[in-house]
Amino acid sequence: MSMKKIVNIENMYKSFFGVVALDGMNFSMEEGEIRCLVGENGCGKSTLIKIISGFYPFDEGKLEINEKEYKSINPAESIAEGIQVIYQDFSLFDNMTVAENILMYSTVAGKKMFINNTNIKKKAIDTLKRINVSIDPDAYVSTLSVSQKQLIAICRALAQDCKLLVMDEPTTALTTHEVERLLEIVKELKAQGVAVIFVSHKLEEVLEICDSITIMRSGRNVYDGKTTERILSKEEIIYYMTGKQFSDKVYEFKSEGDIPLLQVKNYTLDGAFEDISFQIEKGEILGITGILGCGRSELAEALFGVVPADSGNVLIDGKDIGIIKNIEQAIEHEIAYVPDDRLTKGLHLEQSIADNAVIRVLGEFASRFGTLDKKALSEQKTKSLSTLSVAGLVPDNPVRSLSGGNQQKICLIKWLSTNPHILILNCPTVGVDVGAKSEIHDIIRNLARENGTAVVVISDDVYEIMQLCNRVLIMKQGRIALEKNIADTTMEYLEAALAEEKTT
Amino acid sequence: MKKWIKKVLEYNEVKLALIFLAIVVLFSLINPDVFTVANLYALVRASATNAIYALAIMIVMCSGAFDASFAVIGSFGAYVTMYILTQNGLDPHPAIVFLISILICMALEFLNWFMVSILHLQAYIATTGTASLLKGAVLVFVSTSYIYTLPSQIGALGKTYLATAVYGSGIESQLHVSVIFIAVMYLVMHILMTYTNFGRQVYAVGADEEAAERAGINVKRIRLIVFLIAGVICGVAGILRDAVGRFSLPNPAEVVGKENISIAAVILGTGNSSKARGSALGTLLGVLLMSFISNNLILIGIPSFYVELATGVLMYIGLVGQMSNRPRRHSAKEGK
Ligand SMILES: Nc1ncnc2c1ncn2[C@@H]1O[C@H](COP(=O)(O)OP(=O)(O)OP(=O)(O)O)[C@@H](O)[C@H]1O
Ligand SMILES: [Mg+2]
Repeated sequence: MSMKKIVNIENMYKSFFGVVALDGMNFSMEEGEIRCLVGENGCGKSTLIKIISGFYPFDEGKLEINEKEYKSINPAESIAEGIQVIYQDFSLFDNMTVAENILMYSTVAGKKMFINNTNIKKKAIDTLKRINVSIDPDAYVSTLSVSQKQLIAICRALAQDCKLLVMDEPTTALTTHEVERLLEIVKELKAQGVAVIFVSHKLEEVLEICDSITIMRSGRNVYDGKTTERILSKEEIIYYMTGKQFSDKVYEFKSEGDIPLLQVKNYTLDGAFEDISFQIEKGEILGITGILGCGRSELAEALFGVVPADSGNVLIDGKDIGIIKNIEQAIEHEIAYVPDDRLTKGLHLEQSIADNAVIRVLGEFASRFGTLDKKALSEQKTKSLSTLSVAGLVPDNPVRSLSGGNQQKICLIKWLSTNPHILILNCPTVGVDVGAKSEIHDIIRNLARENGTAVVVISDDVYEIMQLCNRVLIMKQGRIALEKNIADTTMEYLEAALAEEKTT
Repeated sequence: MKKWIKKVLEYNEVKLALIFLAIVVLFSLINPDVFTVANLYALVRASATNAIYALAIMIVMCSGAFDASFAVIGSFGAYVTMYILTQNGLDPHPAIVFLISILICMALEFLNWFMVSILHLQAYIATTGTASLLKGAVLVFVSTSYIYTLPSQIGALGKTYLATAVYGSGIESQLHVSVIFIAVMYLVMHILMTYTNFGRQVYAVGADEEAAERAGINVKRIRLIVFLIAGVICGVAGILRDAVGRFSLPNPAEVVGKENISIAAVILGTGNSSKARGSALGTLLGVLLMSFISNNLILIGIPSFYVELATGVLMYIGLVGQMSNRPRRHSAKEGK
C-alpha cells in the first residue's frame, strides 16, 4: 500500500533553444511529505518547478498531478490543483501594496467580480502575524528591502490553502531567526497534511527539515531517498551534486604594518548606523555580520556612496576624504560594491552574458574617440567569463536565460574584472551552490592575497565568515558590538554572540 | 499630525490637486474672470474630448502596453459612421450613432491587441503603424471631404446644454452635456480599476507580465479586454468630438497632435513614484490641469502659441515634483 501521489513526473525532457534543462527527470511527491531538492546552479531545479506550476510547457515525458495525467497544464489549473509556489525571483507586483500582493493569488483564483479591499487587508494582516513579521500592509512593495520581499512572497503562498507548497530557495535573504520561524511553519504545514518541496543551497537547513531528498545533476535525478531510511552527510550530498570532494580552508593574513588602506571613523547615518569606526589593511578580508536591520547593508551602501552617511570620515591610504558622497567618488577611489539585491538590481537582464561581464571595464577599451577596441574586448570577455564556471553558458545569450544562482555569479564576475583596491561584497554567496561557493571563496582569497585587495564581506552566514575572513565585526542596532580575529574565536562563540543580540 | 500630512502628501493625486489649486489661484489673481462659473463651463467644453481619450490611453498604459493610435482610431470611427449615415440619409437616435462608432473602434483596437499580444510586436511601433494605416485608408477608400452637416439628432446633441453662466464682461458660456459623459465614464473607470478583480489584474499585468502569468492570470485575455475597452472609449470620444465641433473630418491630422495632451495628462496623473500605477482620479486631475492652462493662458494675457511650450514646462515641473516621492532604499525600521 502506498500513499497518494501529489506529483509524479516520469522521464521528463525540457530544453531551451538547445540548452538542455531537464534530461529524463524522474520525480514524485507523496501527501504530507517534505522533500528537499538540491543540486548545482543550473541543474534544472527551477525549471522542474515551473513545469509543475504550469509556467513552462514540457517537451516530453509524463506529468501527473493528484493522480490525474496532464498533457499540458497552465498556472491557473496548477493553482486550482492546490499547488502554490514561492518563486526564486519572488514574482511580486511592485505597484501594489503588501496586502494586495499577499492576497493576489486568491483574488485571481476567487474569480469574483468585485474585490473587498477591507477583507484583503484583514487577511493579509493575519498571514503576516502567522509568520511573525511586522511589515506595514499598506506599504508598496517597491519600497521594501529584499528580505522583506522574500517574506511577502512566503506570506502570499501561505495565504492560500494548498496541498503542495513549493519553495524555490525561500531563505536566501532571510536571517537565521526568520529561517527558524519558516522551518517551524513548514513543519506545522506538514502536520496539516500539506506536502512541501524545499529547494535550497543551505544544506544545514535541508538536513534539518526534510523527510526525503532528491539530488539533481545536469537535469537528472541522481539520488532519491527517505532520510528516515538513510541519513546522508553533507559531504555525501555534495559528492552526488558535483561528483567532486571539497575541503575547507581558512584564510590567514599577516599584517605588514602599512598604513591601513581604508579607515572609517565615527561614521553615522541617522536611523541606520552610528559611530562606526574600523580599519582594514591591504590583503585583509574583514567580515561584518549582524541580524537584519542592524545597519550592515546601509553601512556598505554608505561606503559606496549609494546613500551617503551624515557624519564621520573616511581615510584612504591615510588621506582624509571626508564622507563618501556619491558612487562616482567611490569608484574614483577604486572601491567596488556588489549589492545584495543582485537578482533584481545588479544586471541588465536582456543584455548578453558576455556584455554584462565586462560592462564595468568597458571604458578601458575605448579609444580617445570613444570607439571600442573589439578584439581586446572580446579577449577580456573570455578572460572574465573563465574565472568561474557557469552552467548553460552561451556568452551571447541574455542573462535572463541563466538560472538564478548563475546570474549571481555573472554579477560577481562583472565587479571582479575591475580589479578594485577595496571590494565590498554584500552577501556574496547567497543562493549559490556549494561548489560555486568554494570557487567564489577561492577567488576572493586570491584577490586579497595576490593583488592586496582589501575585502569587506557582509554576510549572515557565520560559517562563511569563518571560512573566508581573518577578522569579523558584529553589528548590533547600528553599532559595532564586537570585533574578533577569526583565529581567536570559534563558530559557536560567534553564533552565541549573534543569538544574544536577538533577545536584547 | 505632521506625519499624517506627510502620508497624504505621498499620494500623487493630492500633489496634483495642490498644484492645480495653486495655478487656479495664480491665474485668478491676474484675471478674475478665470475663477468664474462661466469659465468652468468653458473648461468642460474644451477638455471634453481629451478627458475621454485620456481614459483610453490610461487603461492601456496601466496594462503595461501603449497605444499611439487612439486619437486616430476615434476620429476614424466617427468619420466612417457619419459618412455611412449621411450617404444613406439616415438620422438614427444618438445611441445608435455611438454604437456604430464604438463597434468600428473596437475592431480596430482588436487589431492593435493582435499585433501586441499575439504577434508580440512592440506596442508603440505597432500602434503607430495602425495610425498611419488608418490615415491613409480613410482618404483612399472612404472620402476626402469634410462632412459639415451631421445627421440632425446627433447634431442636436452637440448643441445640448445644461446650464448657462455669464462672464463679468457679459459674454455667455454654457455647460455642455458632455460633462455627463465625462462624469459617468470616469466614475465607471474608477470603480473598474479600484474595486474589481479585473482592475487588479490589469495592474498586475502592467507591473510584470511573467509574474502575472504565474499568478494564474490569463495575460492575453486581460490585454484583449483592455484594448476593447479602449475601443469603446475611443468610439464615444470620436462622436462627441464631431458633435461638439459640428463637423467630421476625413483626415484626423487636425486632432492628432492634441492627443499629446491626453498622454501628458495620463503621465502627470500617474506620476513616477513607487506607488505609480495610474488611476482615473489622477488622470482627471491631469486633464484638468493641462486643459486649464492651455485654455486660460489667453485670459491672463499670454499669446496662445505659448500653449505647447507651457505644456512641456508643466510636464517637467510635474514630474520633477513627484520625484521626491521616491523612497529611500532600505528603511532600517524592520526586524527589531
Ligand atoms: N528561459 C530560459 N531560456 C533559456 N535557458 C534557460 C531558461 N530557463 C532556464 N534555462 C537554462 O536551463 C538550465 C536550468 O536552469 P534552472 O533555472 O532550472 O536551474 P536551477 O537548478 O534552478 O539553478 P539555481 O540553483 O542557480 O537557481 C540552465 O542551464 C539555464 O541556463
Ligand atoms: Mg533556480
